[in-house]
Amino acid sequence: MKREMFMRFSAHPSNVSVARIAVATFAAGADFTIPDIEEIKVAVSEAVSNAVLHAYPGGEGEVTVSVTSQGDELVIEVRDQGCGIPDIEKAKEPGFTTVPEHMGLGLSFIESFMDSVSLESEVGSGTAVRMVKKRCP
Amino acid sequence: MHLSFNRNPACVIAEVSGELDLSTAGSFRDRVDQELMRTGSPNLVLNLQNLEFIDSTGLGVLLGRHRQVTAAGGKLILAGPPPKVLAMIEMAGLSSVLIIARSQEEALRLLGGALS
Repeated sequence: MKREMFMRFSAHPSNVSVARIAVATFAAGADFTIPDIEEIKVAVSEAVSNAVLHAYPGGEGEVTVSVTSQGDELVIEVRDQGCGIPDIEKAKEPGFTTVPEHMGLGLSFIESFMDSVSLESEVGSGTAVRMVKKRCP
Repeated sequence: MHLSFNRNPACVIAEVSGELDLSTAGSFRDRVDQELMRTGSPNLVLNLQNLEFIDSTGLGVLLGRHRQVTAAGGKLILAGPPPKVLAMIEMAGLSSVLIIARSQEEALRLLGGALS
């Protein structure tokens, strides 16, 4: 059975935990294990934090999170309509950050915890991170 | 995130519980830095025993406190991180940078040894 959830919220730091908890609750309902849910929480936290921190410099905007569960897969897409990433390969480099006291490990953690990750971005239009987690049989 | 402070002759002890992420990291940083400045203590023990969640933003603020404390000639010791928090610290490659004790008591012993 296919299940879907969609959230749209302002790009504010306080909404990072809201998104994380909502997706974790959804994943629990799709019978993912507690260790898997912990990894999903980190991945969502990283993707939403990146959108909040980088998508709308000096302004306000929205972030959307869509989650789909079908078969043994959970597909999570975090999307913004912000400034976009000029150099995706640079952004993917572990340790690359433009924010003081941040580690630049967000995408590395996402790649470590999810089964597949794709990142699409267009300068001036926004960024989408699509993450897939497969449920262990 | 809940943060409370205890004073020890050798250090500031900060107990943090809940979640350390983008929504809480700034408040955590500001309050810890203010407490270090207020007390004048060079050393900091962060009791992570009841920390339930941390991501790369939370790890960044821990590393930032480490850099700040060591730059002032002190030591930062992380005490009692739960397994999932410890796993994140190790994934980030910070276990070779940060001093990690199994408990607050062990952290204070380590600090006592460093001070003697």
